Formats: sequence, C-alpha cells, structure tokens
Amino acid sequence: MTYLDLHCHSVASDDSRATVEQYLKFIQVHRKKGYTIDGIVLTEHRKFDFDIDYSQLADQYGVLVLKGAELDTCFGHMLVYNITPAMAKDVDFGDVKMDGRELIKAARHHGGFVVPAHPGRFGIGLVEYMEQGEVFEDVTIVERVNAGSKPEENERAEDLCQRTGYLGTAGSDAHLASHIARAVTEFKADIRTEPELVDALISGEFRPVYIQETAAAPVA
Amino acid sequence: MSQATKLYFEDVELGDEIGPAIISVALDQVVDFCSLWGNPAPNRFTDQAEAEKIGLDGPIVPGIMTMALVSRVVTDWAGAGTVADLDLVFRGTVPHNQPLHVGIQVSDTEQDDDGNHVQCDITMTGPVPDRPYVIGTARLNLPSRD
Repeated sequence: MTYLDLHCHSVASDDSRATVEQYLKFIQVHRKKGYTIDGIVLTEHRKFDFDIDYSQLADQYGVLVLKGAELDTCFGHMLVYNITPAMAKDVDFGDVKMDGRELIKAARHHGGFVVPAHPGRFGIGLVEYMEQGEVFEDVTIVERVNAGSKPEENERAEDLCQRTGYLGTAGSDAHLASHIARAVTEFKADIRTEPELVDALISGEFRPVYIQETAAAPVA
Repeated sequence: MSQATKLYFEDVELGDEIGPAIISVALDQVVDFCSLWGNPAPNRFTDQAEAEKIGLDGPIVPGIMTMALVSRVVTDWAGAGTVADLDLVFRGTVPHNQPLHVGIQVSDTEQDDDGNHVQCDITMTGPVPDRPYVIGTARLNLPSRD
C-alpha cells in the first residue's frame, strides 16, 4: 500500500509559499499524529524541471518525492505524471490554451498519464465543459477529491465519477506547507518512481482518501 | 525602552494551530481606512455602484487593509515587532460585514546565527469551510528564553 499526495505546489509555482523541505517537515507532523503519508508528487503550474533532484531531501525525511506538472488547457487544469524529455519536446507547457485532449494523447504516447484536476470546480472544471457538450473519450481517471476545493465542488466530482465510471484520485492541491497531504490517494501497489505511478494508475487499484482515513493503515 | 514579549521561540512547535480569530470589517472602518490611505470614498471599496461598475457584487475590503488586519491577528498572538515579513496571496475578494476567520498554523521553525525564525501559514476564510479568500505566510523573529 502506498499513500501519495498527487497534487501539490512548491515555491516553484508562483502562487505557492511552501518549499519542498517545508512540506517534508510538515509530513512529520502528520506522521506524529498517526497518519500514513508515503510521498508527494510535485505538480508545479505550467512547468517541469528535469534537473532538480530532491532525492537527498527525500532520504533525509523518509518521504518519496516524485515530479509531475499541472498544465492549463482549454478544458481546465490537468495533472500530468511521468513527464519525459520527449513529452516536453512535444508539449508546450506554457501554452495556457493547449488542447486538453491532445495533451492526454501526447502524454500516453510518451508513457505518461493525465488526470484532469478538480473537475467539479465551478467555472473551470471538466464538468463545466462536459455540460457544454464536450466529450472526453480518453479520460478514465479524474481528481475526485481536491482538498483545496469547496465541498460542493468535490461532490460534483464524485457525481461525475458515479455517472461516467471514471476512477478518482485525491490530492491536497497544497500551496502552503500545512495543507500538504490533506487528501491522498491510496494505492495497492508499492510505488517508488513516476513510471510505477503510471502503472498503478492504469491498474485502477487505488482510491481517494482524506488524511484522517490513513490513520488505521499500517505504518511502512 | 524594551517591549514586553508575549511569545518565545521555545513556546512554538511545528504544527501548532492558533485561532481562528474571527474579525469583521464594517463599511465605516473601510471609509476611514480609505480616507487615511488617500483614496477617499466613494470608490469600489466603499460604494455599491462603484463596485458594480468594475464587475464586483459589492464593495470589498482593500488588500492593504486586509494585510493590516492579518498582521494585527498575528501580532496579537506573537507580540508587537515580531513580524519580519507578511506575504499574502489573494484568491478571492474579501467582503464587508461577514465573519472572516483568520487561521494561523506554524509551518516551519529554524534557528540560525540571525535569530529564531518561525514561519506561519495564514488562511482567511468565510464562516463555512471553503476555499480561502486569502492564503499566505508570516515570518516571525522570536526571542529565545536562553
């Protein structure tokens, strides 16, 4: 079992005020309370840094740190996992009007995976576009629980999953250290790398949970 | 002249939660603030019609007034003169005459040659748990008991 926060932003994103080390420190606060958090996936806005290496910090705090991105598209924000240099060549991460459907295809082509973020969010979530008649044949998983969304927005995401059969992930969408891991995804698999994360998403063996639900889990 | 200190570095632990402090901003306070600030009423902060002209539902609390209010909540807890930096991100407009819940949580502590530093996460929300109007951080310099 692996508990990962699949959506958070460090100071590399312009609207975040938390460093990666502050997130890892704060996870120790959660652990002291008995919660299980194995790792985080940094999903910076509109960017990806291949060079930055968090392995030393990860070892120091005993927290897995993976990297992804949250990209703006014409169909709302999308979380991208297992970004490769080849994918980054094909996709302009700074294009805030990029075609979300094309992004999903490009990511899959390069071994990555795309999960629409906060789909129930009013005005900008995937639900809004679906209500306008847009169809997303390649979407199979959405972010069902976003700890930064309003309760009614998460309810819309849950309704979407029930209506379509989409599977759901969870993430904190943290922009502050104390918000890290408020919601996490519980995976059956043991995950240590971005490709393993994609495999685990494709397997479908995961569920979204709030941090309180991790308390009874065995501590790794 | 030395100032009495309310809080020492040793009193603070990572993860400590303070508040929320509940404040509310009345129109006359905003009018007074705007007058002192040099932006006299009527304007989008004080007047319904002016606010609607720029697409707002109603007059809002000025950003710098919100910063001042948050700063006061922090110093009420930590003591005057402790705030070295206040960095807020406005995610929504701050309304008048509504309970504003200002929460503080200690998100980092560090001691170095320059002193004893505490970072606090700040959130300002309405009364219902919701997306915050404001998030940010305050960096404090606290004295040590040693």
